[in-house]
Amino acid sequence: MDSPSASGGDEAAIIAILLNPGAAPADKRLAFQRLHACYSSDLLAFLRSRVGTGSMMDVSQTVWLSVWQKIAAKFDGRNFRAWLYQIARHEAINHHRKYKKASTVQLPESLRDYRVPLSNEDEELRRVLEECLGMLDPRSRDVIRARLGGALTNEEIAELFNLSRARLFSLVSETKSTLTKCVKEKLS
Amino acid sequence: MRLISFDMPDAVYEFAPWLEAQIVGLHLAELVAELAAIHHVRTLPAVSVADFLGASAFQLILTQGLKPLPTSSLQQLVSHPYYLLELQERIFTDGGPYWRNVPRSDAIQAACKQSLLMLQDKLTLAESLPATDGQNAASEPEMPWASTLEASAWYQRPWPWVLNLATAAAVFIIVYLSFRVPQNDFGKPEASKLVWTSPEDLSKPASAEQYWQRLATVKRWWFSEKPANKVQLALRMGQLSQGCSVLILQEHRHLPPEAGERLRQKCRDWAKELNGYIVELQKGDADFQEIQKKTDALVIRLSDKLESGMKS
Repeated sequence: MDSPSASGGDEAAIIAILLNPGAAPADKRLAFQRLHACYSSDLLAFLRSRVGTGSMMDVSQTVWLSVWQKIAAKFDGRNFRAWLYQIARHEAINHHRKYKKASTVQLPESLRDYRVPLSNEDEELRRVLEECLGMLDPRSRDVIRARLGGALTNEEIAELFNLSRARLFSLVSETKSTLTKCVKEKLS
Repeated sequence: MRLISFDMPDAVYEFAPWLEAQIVGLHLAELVAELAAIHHVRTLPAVSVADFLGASAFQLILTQGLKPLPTSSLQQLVSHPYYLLELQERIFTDGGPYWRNVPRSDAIQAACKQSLLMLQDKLTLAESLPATDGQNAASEPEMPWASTLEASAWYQRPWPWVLNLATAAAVFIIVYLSFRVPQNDFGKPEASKLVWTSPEDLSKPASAEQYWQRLATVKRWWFSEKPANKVQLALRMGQLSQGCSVLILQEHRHLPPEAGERLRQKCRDWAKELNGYIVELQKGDADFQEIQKKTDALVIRLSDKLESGMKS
C-alpha cells in the first residue's frame, strides 16, 4: 500500500540517500527534513494520543533523533512507516513505564500486542467527566449518552424521551454546559 | 476549555468526516477519554480493531476512510472508543492514499513546524542541520519528493558556501554566548537574574521539560533577596510584572502550541493578581509585609504550576 505522504518511488529515493554511506552530508540532512515533513504530522497525532500534550513534543524529538542516528544501521530499507511507528510505539511504552505506576503496565510478550493506555492527563479527564456525569439527574445523563452514542438521530432521541425537538435541543445544550463547567472546575 | 465529544455533528453524513479529522488530529485521546466516560468503558480492548470491526470493514477504512462504513460500525467505534486509538495507529502505518487527503488542522501543522525547529536546534549543535530549509519543508503538506530534492539540492544552490558560513557563524555565536553569559545553563540560572525578562535566554535550545524548569526558576530569583522596605518590594514586584508581560508576548516555541497558549493565559491571571498587589502597595498605608506574604504565596503557586508543566 502507498505511503500516505509520498509516492513509493519518491520515498525510496529519499531513503536511498539516507542509507547511502557515500551520500553528501548536506543531502542526507535535506532528505531527513523531507522525511520529517512527510511524517511529522501523523507522528505527532499518534504521540499526542499515547503520551499526552505535555510530553508529545519531547517524545517526538526522541523518535526523530533515533531515526536520524539509526536509519543507516538499523533500517532494512523496506517499509519506513512501519519502522518509524515501531520506534514511536517503543518510546510511548517507555514513557508509560516511566510515568505510570510500574505495576499498572503489564507488557505482553509481543510489544505489537500491547495496547497503550491513555496518558495520565487523558485518564484524568475521563475520571473527572465520569464524576460530573454522576452528578447529573438520570434523565439528562441518559439524553446526553443517547445524543453522543452515534446511533440515534435527534428525532429518535426526542421520541424516545418524549421530548419536543426544541426541548431536546435546550436540554442537550444545558447539559453540555453544566458538564463543561463541572469538568473545568475539577481540572483547574 | 471545551469537550471534544460535544462538537460531534448532529447529521449522520457529517459524522464520518468529523471522526476522520479527529483521527489525524491532536484531540483523539481527549475524545476517547470523553466517550469512555460517557459510555462507561473502563477496560482496554481484548481483541484487535480488525477483529472487532471485521476484516472487510477494516480494509475499507484503510483504503476509503470512514464514509463508506455503515452507521452501525461507526456507532460501535463510538461506544467502544478505545478501539479508535488502535485504529489511528493502523491508519498511520497501513492506511492508503485516501488518508493523505484528509485535511490536517492548523494546530498540527504549527506543531510540525515547531517540532522541526526544535529538532534543528538539537541537530545544529551536534550535526549542523541547515536551518534555512526547515520551515519551508515543514509547511509543505505534500512533498513532491524527488523534484523538491533536486531543486533545492545542496550542490545546486546559488551560494552553498554562504550557508556553510552562516551555520558556522550560528554555532560560533551559540558557543560564544554560552561562555560570555554568566548564566550558561538553562537549568542552573543565577539566582540574581529573572529569566522571564530575558527573551534571549528563553529562546535557548531546550526540551519542553527543561523550558518549564527554566521558567520555574522564578521562585529561586524571588526568594534570593528579601526587600527591606516598600520601595525595594515595589521595584522587585515591578520586575516580576515585566517578566509576566514578556511571557505573555513571547513565542514559546519549545512548547506545543496549546501549552504555550495555556501558559500565556495563566500569565495574564498572575499578572492581574500581581498588579492588584502593586496597586495595594502604592496606596501608601498598606502593610508591606502583608503584601510581601501575598506575593510570596503567588510566586510559590505559579512556580509549582510551571515546575509541573502546568499539570497541577
